[in-house]
Formats: sequence, C-alpha cells, structure tokens
Amino acid sequence: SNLLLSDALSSPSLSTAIDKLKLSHRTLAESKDPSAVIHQKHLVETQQLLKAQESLARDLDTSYIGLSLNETLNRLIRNGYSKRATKLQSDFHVPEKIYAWIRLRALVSARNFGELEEL
Amino acid sequence: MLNYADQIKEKVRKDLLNLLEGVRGKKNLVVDEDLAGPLGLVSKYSTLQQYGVDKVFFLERKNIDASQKNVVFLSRGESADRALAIAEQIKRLQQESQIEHEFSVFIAPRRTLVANKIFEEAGVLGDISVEEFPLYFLPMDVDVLSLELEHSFADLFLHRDPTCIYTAARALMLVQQKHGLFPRIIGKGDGAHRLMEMLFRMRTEASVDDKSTKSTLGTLPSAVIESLIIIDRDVDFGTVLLTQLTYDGLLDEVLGIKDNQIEADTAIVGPPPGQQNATTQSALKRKLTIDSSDKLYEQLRDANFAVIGPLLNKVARRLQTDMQNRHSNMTTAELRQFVNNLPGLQAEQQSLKVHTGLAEDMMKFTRNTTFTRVLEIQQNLAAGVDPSTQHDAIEELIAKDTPLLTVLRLLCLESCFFGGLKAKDLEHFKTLILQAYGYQHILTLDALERMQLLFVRTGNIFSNATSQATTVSKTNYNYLRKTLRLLVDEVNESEPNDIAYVYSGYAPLSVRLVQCVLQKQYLLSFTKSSSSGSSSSKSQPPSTPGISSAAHGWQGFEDALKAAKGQTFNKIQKGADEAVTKARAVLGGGGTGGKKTVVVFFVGGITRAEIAALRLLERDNPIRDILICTTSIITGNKMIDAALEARTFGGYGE
Repeated sequence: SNLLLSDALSSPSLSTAIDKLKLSHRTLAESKDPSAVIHQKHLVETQQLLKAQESLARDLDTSYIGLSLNETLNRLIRNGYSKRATKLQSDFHVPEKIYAWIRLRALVSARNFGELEEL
Repeated sequence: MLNYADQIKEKVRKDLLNLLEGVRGKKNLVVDEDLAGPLGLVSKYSTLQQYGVDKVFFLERKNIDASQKNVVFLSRGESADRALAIAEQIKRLQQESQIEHEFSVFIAPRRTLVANKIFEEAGVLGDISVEEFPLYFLPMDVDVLSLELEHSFADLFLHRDPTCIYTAARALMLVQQKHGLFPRIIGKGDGAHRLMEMLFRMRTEASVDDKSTKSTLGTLPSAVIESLIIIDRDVDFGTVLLTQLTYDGLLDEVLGIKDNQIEADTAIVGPPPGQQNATTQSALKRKLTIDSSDKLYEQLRDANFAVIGPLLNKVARRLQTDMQNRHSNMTTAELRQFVNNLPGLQAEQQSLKVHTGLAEDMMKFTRNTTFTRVLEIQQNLAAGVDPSTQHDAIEELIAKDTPLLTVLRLLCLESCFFGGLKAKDLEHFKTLILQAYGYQHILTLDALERMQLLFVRTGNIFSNATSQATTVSKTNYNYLRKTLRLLVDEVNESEPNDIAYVYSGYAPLSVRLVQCVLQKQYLLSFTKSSSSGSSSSKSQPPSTPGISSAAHGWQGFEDALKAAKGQTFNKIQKGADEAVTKARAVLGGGGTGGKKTVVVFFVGGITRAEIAALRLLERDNPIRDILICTTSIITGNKMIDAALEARTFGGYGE
C-alpha cells in the first residue's frame, strides 16, 4: 500500500494519482487491523482533498492542487471565499481551534479587517 | 595523549596521494559530493594539483569534460546509484570524445559486489581500473573521529541496513592493528552488540589469515587503550530530539555544520579576508571552517549558549587591552615581543568578529517566540511532566504552521520519553499533521513508526521497570530519570560541573551510560540517597575511582541498564598467547602509569552537545583520555529528516 502511495506521489497527472490512491486503499480493504483502518481513513481523505482541490481549481481559476488542507483553507479565506472554506472545514472535521487560527492568520495576511472584527 | 587524529589524517592523505600517483600524467578528478567535504578535511586543492590533478568535477553535476586523457573517479562504494552514475558518465565520455580515455575508479572504503556487478552490466568493467581507497575514520577534531557516513542513521534505523556497522568494525580493526587489541569492550544496545561480535569475528579471521606471516595485527592487548565503549543510538533517541544548547550544538541546529564548515551570510560574519572591498554582493554566503585550530572557537564551542555573550565580551576586553598596551611605554624587547604577537592578535580579532556575528544571529533565533515555546515543551517533557498538558501547546504550533520537523520532533520526543503516545492522542495528532502539512506525510509518519520513534503506548511499559527480562524493547526514561539522575535542577552554566549543562538541566542518557563505566563514584554519590541506588552502592567498594573501577565494566548499574533498550555486554579480549602477554606486562610494566585512552563509539551518530558532555567527562577524569568515534554527527532535525517525505501532490501538468 505504501509502495502504491509512493507511486501516486510521483505519478504525472492527477487522475492517475487518484487511481493509484484507490488501489492503495483497496490493498488494505480486507485488513481489520486497527492501524490499517486508520490508514484507510487517511487514504480516503487524501482522495477527497485532491478531488475538492480539482473542483476548486476549475471554479476559481487558481491552483489549489498539492496544497495541504490547512494551506487550502488559508488560501481560500485569503482570497475571500470564506463560505467554501467553512464547507471544507466541516467536510474534513477540522477542529474549531485550528480553524480559528487558520482564519486569523489568513485574514491578517489579506488585511481583511472587516471580517476580522467579526471574530 | 595519542594523537590519533593527526595519524589518521596523515594516513588518509597518503593513501589518496598514492592512488593518484598511480595514475600517470595529468588527470581530471571526479568526486562525489558526499566525499568532497571530507576530502577537504585532509588535503588541499593545491596538493592535489601537485599530483597532477587538472580539474575537479562533481559526479552529481554530470559535466565532466574531455580535456584530459586520464579520468579518475572517487566515490563511496556502498550505494548502487553512485556506481550507476559513474558507469553512465564513463559511457557518455567514451561516446562523445575522440581521444581514448583511461578511466580509474577509486572506491571508498572498499570494493563492493554491487559496484562490480553494475560496472559489469554497464559493460565498462573492462575499460576501467578499480582500486580501493581505504577511507574510514576522518578526523573531525583532535578528539573526534567520524566515519562521516551521512546516511548512517537512516540506513540503520529506517532501512535496517547494517552496512555501516561493518564499515565501523573495519575502521576499529585498523585502530586495533595500530595500537593493539582493545583490552575490554563494553557496550549497550543491539547495534553495539553486533559491532562487538563483528570485531571478534574479524579478529579470528585475521589471525587465521596471517598465521604464516606473523601478523602485524597485534595479538596483544593494547597498552595505551584501556577500553572500547560502544553505545547504540537507539538506546537513547530522546537526547538527540532535544534542542542542543551548547554553542557548537546550536550552530549545528540552526545553520548546520557540514564537514566542520558552516555557511553563513557575509552580512553576519563579514566578508572573507582579502575581499574586504567586495561589498557589492551583500547576500553572498560564505563558507567558514570551524575547528579547534581557531583558538577562540575552541573556548566557545562547548559552552552553554547562555554564557556565550559574557564570554565573548571578556575576550573582546582582553584583546582591547592587549592592543592598547602598545601605546604605553615599552622597552625594545617588549616591543619586539608585541610585534611578534601581532599576527596572532589580529587573527584572534578576526575570529572574534566572526563569532560575535554568529552569536548575534543565533540570539535572534533563540529570542523567537516559537523557539522558546518549543524549548519549554521540550524541558517539560524531559522533566517528566504529564505529557497531555503539553498537547495544547503542540496543537497550537501545528495550527501556526510551524515547520513540520519541529512538530514531529516534539511528538517523537514525547513518544521516546514516555514509552509512546496514547492511541487516541496519536491518531488525533496524525490527523492534524496530515491536514496541516499534506497527505503525503502518511509515508513520513509510517517511516517514523518503523524507526521506533513514534508509536502507540503499550500499557505495561511503566509497570515493572526491572523485570526479569534482560532486554526491554524500549528505553524506560521514567525509571532512568531517577536512577541515573538525568535531571539536574541546579546547573552551573558558566562553570559546568555536571554534563547536564549541555541541555540546561537534562543530562544526556547516552553520556550517563558512559559515566556508569568511567565515573562510578560520581554517579553513585547522586543515587545513594534514592532507595534503588543504595542497594547497588553497597556492592561497590569505596575505593578511589580509577583503573580498577573501570575493570568492573557496568558493575553497580545493572539495574539501570536493564531499563534501557538493547543488549548489554562486557567482554575481555585476551592476547592470543598468554605467555607473550605476561612477558609484555613485565617489559612494559611502567606503561600503566601513563594516561590511557578510552575509545567511545556511538553507532548511528552523536550530537555535538554529547561531544561537549564527553569532553567535560574527560576534563574531570585526569587519568584517562577519551577518544570519541561515531558513524556521523547528527541533530534531531537530521534524524526526522531521514523519514520525511519530500514529494507533494501537485506539480501536475494543468
């Protein structure tokens, strides 16, 4: 599974990367081992994130692919797409505290003081 | 003191130059980048030129030109990709250039099967002459020898590749050849055990080989070396993960020291001498060599960073008064003396400037809030405070996008000191890390688990520290903290009296273990008060700590050692022929009065702070010299870096 994941990392395009991730996920599917279950969850999230980033890139004309989840949120808020960010946050169960930090930092770097005051 | 460092330096240089001389005429030298630095330690470019080297290339750059008929490759032999690269370069040169080239390949430290195979398959084996370049220990300083195997840590603990133990054994065999057998080998840890076994096997092999020729390998125990102490890194990961607080260690943490050289902004350390006018390129990096030839650095390097400021200040004042003396009235003799000293003074001033710059730069770093936070968490963890109280702080660091290395280092530290994280906590942090730094780090986290740096706590780790089992799978810091007094509340940073000063209050376990052998009395004076220590102190005769106490090996600390990971051993190497040994004892009877050397070998790397601690040990121990040997010098960041997945999702074509 790790080999496939490593493959996915070096694969040349997004779609093959997602395919590889799926494969990697499947190799673990039968295992009931608790660590494997956690691993699976992470792999699924990886795919979700990549897909979400793909659609973001399509809708918003800026590249989000390859960023980590927190970076994605940061960039979304900085560019003024707070709603989408909030949606992602609930999709991925980002803890409130972490999200608050991300928002704070993003808003400050965007100098969006109007929204800052709402916090 | 035996001057091993100089001997080895001389030997490496001779070996290299002999090899070069073996290739007639002018030649181009191709070095792999890993070796370039170490070579710089032993020889200068100008010496190479005298031996007919025309140009030097780096193997990795792939830009060797065809200007000379002879091409010499110099590379490490352990890794297959180096050999592949060499083969590729040779083929390219053969195709591109008109002249017939002669290729020589020098492989350090020995010719490997893999390399041979690769050359054969590439079809170049017939066109090249392969030669071994016996490069083992490199002198990092007068008392520090390193194999400089940069990847040894990852090799040992991530890939479980014991090649570097073999290399270490060969290197130690060379020391034995020169100075006689180590009379006693003491060690802790599985890797150390393996190294010891290998040494014994090599010795029997050597004695079988040389039976006819009356070998040069001494069959006699050495008269100058007292013992060899081998410590495996995985006995004590925790120490490395803490931030080193000596000047030297901090430099390594912040700027990174490679082959005794650091790169620093010229803005900080000033332009190199001789180019004072070139102020136009202010952002230029400058390479600085730092070793004990710099008198000022020698004073500073092992000091705790907290006292660097006052120290520098003192030196500055002294220099100033020295310089001002010339204005006062002097006799001609005094004047001459002064003029003679002048170059020394100027050099000192120069280096003072450099180190003040560096210290100021690091001060900036240490004043940074993140650094103080991280340090605080580290100290709390080391002190054994309930780790869950630190979790909030770590979470905050993650949310603030602190470099992943720092965060992982803290988590691994917790995991080391407390025998793992609770399953729920570990999962929670894993999710946070993946979300914050990207899902590619699934691989990173996995690698860390394989290296036994990050793991789930299993319930029984604290329950019974000194169980019947002779080895435990993990080092129990909680128990050792008390028995070996890893925590020292009052440390005197300006005039250190305990090794704990290198981490401002925490004594590195690895060095404490060395103390178990060398400074029993000192350690026992701590532990007497605690209940577990009193029983063991009875077995220790209250004689003076001396040669006799070292002869006991680990005695007195068996309980403590059981709580640390890996096998413990204590073997005596006897001379092959008892009669000869006796004869020698009679002949060299006076030899015992002199200083003996203890060789301390760290398998898997040593930190600069630990080196500083060992130097303190040596200072407090008038009858012994300590020679520090290691596979490489590491820092916590390098350790985690070995596991880090560098690639990210992304970089796809749109």
